[in-house]
Amino acid sequence: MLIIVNMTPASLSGETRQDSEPNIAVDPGNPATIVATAFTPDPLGGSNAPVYVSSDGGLSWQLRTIVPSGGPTTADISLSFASSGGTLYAGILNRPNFHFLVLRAPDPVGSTSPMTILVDRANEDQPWVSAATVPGGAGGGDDRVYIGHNDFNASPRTASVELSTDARTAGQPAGFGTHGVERRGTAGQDGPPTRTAVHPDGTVYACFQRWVTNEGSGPGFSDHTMDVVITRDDNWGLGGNPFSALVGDDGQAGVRLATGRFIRFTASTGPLGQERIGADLAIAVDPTNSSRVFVAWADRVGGKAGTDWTIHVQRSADRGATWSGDLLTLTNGKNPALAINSEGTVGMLFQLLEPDGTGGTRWVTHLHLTRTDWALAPTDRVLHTAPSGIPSRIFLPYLGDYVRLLSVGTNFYGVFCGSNQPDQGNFPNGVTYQRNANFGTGQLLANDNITPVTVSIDPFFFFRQEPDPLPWAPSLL
Amino acid sequence: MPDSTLKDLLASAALAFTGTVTATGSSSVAGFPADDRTAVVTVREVLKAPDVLTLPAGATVTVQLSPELPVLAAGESASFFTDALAYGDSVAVRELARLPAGVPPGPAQPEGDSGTRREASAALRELAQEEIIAHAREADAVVRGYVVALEAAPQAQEPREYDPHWWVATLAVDVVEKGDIPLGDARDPVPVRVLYANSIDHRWRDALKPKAGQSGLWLLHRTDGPMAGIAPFQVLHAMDLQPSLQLDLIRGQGG
Repeated sequence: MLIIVNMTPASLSGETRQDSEPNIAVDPGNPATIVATAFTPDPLGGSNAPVYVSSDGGLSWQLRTIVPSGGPTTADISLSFASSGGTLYAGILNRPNFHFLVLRAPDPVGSTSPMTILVDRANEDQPWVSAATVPGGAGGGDDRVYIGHNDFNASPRTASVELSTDARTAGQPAGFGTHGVERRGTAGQDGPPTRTAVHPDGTVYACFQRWVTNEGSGPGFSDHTMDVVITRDDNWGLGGNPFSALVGDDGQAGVRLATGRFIRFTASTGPLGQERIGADLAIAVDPTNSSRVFVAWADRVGGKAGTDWTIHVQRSADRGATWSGDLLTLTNGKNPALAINSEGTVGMLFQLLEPDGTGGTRWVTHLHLTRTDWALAPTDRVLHTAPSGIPSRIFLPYLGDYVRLLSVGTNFYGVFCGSNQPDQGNFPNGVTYQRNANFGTGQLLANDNITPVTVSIDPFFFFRQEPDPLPWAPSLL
Repeated sequence: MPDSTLKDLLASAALAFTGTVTATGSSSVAGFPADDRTAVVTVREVLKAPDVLTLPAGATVTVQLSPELPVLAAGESASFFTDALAYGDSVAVRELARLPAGVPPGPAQPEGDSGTRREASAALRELAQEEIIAHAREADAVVRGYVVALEAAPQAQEPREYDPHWWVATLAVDVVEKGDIPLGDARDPVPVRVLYANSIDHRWRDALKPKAGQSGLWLLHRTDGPMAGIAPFQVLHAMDLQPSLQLDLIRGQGG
């Protein structure tokens, strides 16, 4: 079963904003409760930014203005629930001054109260939140929260993890503190993404992109070589020097699973279907086996003269010490997101710029599911496909610098952004719209269900039940 | 806010409307937590709303009534001044202030509901003008001119994601309303260099980006630090460019 839902509520049918760069959190203790985000403003322009909330497993969504951003939207925002207890954690860059805030809400769906601010710090980038609840033993019941972030206060070793080992109830800062995970020198900074993955046995991975050399720059972009580095902690990050359990061949903490990869970091140009490139990274750990971990990233295989943006996926079966080499490569793709379910099935969500057969290109959002780590062809579901030139970009990122995929039990949940053109051909596995739309005429409609509304970028939620109860007829559901 | 004018109330609220309570203790937004201060209101007319949120007469809004105001019963009408709580099939809002329906405060005489709406429209126009005047007062220079050149500013370091990507617009200025700029005229306009953020990263998405030939009234802000050597002024706010017609407004109000 595969369910795809356009998340824009009916009361905002007239909106035409670029609601890009999504994130999502599913409450493992009650998977009907889901919270998601995008660059969606409060339409009334208030001082709290909204999140999308669902209390029915993602079938319906509404916006709640609970994020104390100091303005109607946030810059970057990422979310996670802990494993139990229902507390939501968020890391954001707020809007007026782009400070990094760590936020907490004990009941994000049942309450309309703004989230509590736990940390507020300047000169930061791209928070990415993961969390877990200690299942038993010492610290049993504690919420442990790990937020990858790019801390320019620590330049040039900027890759960092903000963590708290008991975050649920304490007052500000609720045990949060930042820890650098970059131990080597850099070419001024690490790349924006630091991604974390938490296993209930206390294993925590943090992966980042070490910028090694600067290779020149041009209008709106800079070229670099980078290493993909993974670090690990074996006891929840409780020690004095967290994320030092993995040691590389140079004796430094952190194994370099890929080295010297060329990237073009296009902060203010969009060379790939109106979208920028330069900082794609994902990690997932097997919930049944903390030694089995997957990493995906993107780089430019063609080097400085190249035009590609290539996704790579690799696996480690020995806790990050050694790596498989590429299990999968995808040319001209973005936004890999990984998750592994309780049966060991690996899911990867990604967005590929594909030829449309008539000289144009389309953004195609895929979900891969594999039980053979891509040794055999994966189950490949196209969630969305739309011309890459429509709508025109308003700002960058066009679709987002990331998407997100999660697993709870055997099931997968995810979120991506794309054109909201109401065309069944764009949704080969079906879709449900909350906002007013006429799929017969391909027209979005305003609240009056009459006035035409122009196409824009919207967030889409999806749910994939595994194992598929009706694998022969997914499009009927 | 017992002494507030209609304009004050509109300034403080993101959404304002008159309507009649049809139910209490419940919500028209699925899953929205309701209590005895939650009222479902049928909209009679909208006094203030953004374009994206159309609320036709008869639309339903859930209002979380202010704890500082009396609870309303079904059948009672009022003008509600609110901000957002939730958007679903319909909208839920938090009440900030309330007026009896159809009775705007201040010197104007109430003329029924349409009178309230006219009064609100006039107040909103005043608020918009006051916002421009306040912004002009914060500016270090106010000039009329048009863009004659656009060029990238020298870059001192490798670009980073959130860099503004400074560019310089050269304005040909024929009217100096405010600021330490030599006077020009239509035949011999004065060139004025102005920094702007040319990045299209979301951090700078609302920053003004001058276009070739673009003309109007420019509200310039002095550049601080090393970038002052490249251009003495900058424009970063979307309101830093106004139609030339606003010159009369700014002169009249001492902007």
